Amino acid sequence: MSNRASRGFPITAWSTVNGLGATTEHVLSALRSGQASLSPPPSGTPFETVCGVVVDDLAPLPEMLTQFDSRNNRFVQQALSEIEASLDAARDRWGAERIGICVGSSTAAMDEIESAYATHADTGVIASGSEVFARGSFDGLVRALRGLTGLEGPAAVISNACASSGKAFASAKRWIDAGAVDAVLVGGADSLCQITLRGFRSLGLLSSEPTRPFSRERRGINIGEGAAFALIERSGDGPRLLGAGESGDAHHMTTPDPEGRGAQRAMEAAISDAGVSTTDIDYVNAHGTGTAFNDAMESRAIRATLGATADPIVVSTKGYVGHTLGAAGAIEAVFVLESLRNGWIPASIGAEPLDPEIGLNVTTTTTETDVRLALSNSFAFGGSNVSLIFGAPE
Amino acid sequence: MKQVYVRGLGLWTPGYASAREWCRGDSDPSIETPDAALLSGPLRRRSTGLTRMAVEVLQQATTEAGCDVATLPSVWATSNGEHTTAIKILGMMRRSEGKLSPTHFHNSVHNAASGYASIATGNGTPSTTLTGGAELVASSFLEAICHLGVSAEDVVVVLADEPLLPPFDRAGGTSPLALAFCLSSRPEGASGILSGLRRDAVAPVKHHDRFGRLYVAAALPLLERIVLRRPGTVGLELVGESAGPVSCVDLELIGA
Repeated sequence: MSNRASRGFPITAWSTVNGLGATTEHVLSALRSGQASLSPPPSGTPFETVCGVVVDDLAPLPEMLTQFDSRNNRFVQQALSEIEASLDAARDRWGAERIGICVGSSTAAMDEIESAYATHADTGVIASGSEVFARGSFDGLVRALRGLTGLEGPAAVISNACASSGKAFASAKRWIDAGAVDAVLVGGADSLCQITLRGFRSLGLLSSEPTRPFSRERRGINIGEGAAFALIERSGDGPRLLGAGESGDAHHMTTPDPEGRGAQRAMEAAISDAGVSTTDIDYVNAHGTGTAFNDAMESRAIRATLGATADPIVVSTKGYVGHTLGAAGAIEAVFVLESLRNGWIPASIGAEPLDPEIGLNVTTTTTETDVRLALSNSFAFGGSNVSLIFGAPE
Repeated sequence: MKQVYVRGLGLWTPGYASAREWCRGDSDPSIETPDAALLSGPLRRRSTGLTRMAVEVLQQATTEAGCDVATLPSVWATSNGEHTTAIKILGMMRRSEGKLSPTHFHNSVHNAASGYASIATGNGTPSTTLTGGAELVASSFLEAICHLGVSAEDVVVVLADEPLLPPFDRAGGTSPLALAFCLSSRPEGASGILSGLRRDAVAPVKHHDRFGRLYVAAALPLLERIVLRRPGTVGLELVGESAGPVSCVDLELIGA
């Protein structure tokens, strides 16, 4: 690591629920064993596809928060329940008003709104538009988070489509850097809904089969759902968020710049913010959606950013849980944090036969190795890009 | 938290095409759609009303500030987002065997306006879209002020929302609203100074007849006080949203 290296901020707790399981332990165990979890969407679609579905029956929100009870907020509650002790300790240490909440989501509980709209169209009745919005809106997400955590610092929802929760990490770092707060509960949550399934289908980006990121046989994305949270503190022990870089493609609403210039600028900005050398990056958690365009663009951008001397292991985990859209950055951050803490990198399942044009060290078996520095990418509609650099515990 | 300077403002709502026109009460019924001159050709045709409104105030605020819209980082805020497009999509899904228009789909994301603006201007700098409800205005200013504290000299905050449509029309507002504030760590050309963003025992923002519970309207008193030269502590949350302290900011004025 270079002398300019930033110490960043430690991440003292993390958790996730997604298609691989309802607890972090189950999720990481399945990830380590290379076990995918993709199945047809439970609500049905007029076309074939598979999704990363949370199949567990999750507890409803407590009575005082019943008005915000939704599938999405149940994911949130489930993930938060695992890090309660760390949140309590942080609250005692910093004060509830010095801990912010910054969460990314692309659609919040849109399934609630879809269901209410359909019922209204069929029957002419909607129980209460405001109740539907309390459950389904981003405001309902913030209010549920406040109610579940008791945190009193600033709270924001970032909605930059598939870059949402990656950008939540960038904002959280900025808030602590600027002195606005001493800690941030950062994360992401998104649940399956018809608009995203049918929308990606309309763009020709949805695969009818399990997604194959970086394979020459890749056919598009699978959509997933879930939530993940991480507690970032000004000081403490744990893997560290060292750098964040954001950029815009300024190219097209849905198609990435084929040259990957926007993605490259985000990665370069993250590396610069962290003050690290490209050759010290051991592991790249790629956005790796499994579309022809993304994987070609991203691999070009990674090669251009890291140069010929760096040869990190590159992995996409979309083959396990699908593309969890606004939650992807946070869920994949949890995967990266596990790699940094326990010294293994998941297999990039579905990647064989590798597309020879990718030109990266995409690894299709679980790798037992110490990881010092990891780079994680998220890219989105509107050309929104974010890259994060995480470092091993000091 | 550090103080920041207000260098430019923007406002658009039907009948009013600038912050000053709004503050004078100078309504022009011919103003029905925003100019959004930054959008041209296919971008203009494909964009939504919310996007055009947001791009219009982006241009107003950056022009007044003398900032280059092509290189300025931005923070965007919308509570209901592309609700009008989402309602169209929901109807489409029922009518046509679930087939969607790809343009409607990509227009439905909350960051559609920032995406269109970045493509139109070639702006590749960071752009973050915030959403939520009661705390939306305060969190947008927080995000922008933290940008200025860490990585940027200038940043623009664009807030835009449309009323909810049936059957979800709980807001009761009748007009869309877009506002923009160009903020800077540099005092040159600034009209006001913002400091002390916090939660405190201050009066929340009363509902405006025209905008009802449109959350971005919580930024309207701040814009009005800057234009009308009324310094003081300004609430950034609508009345009735929380029982406790209210997000607020201190406004000082610069110049004559």
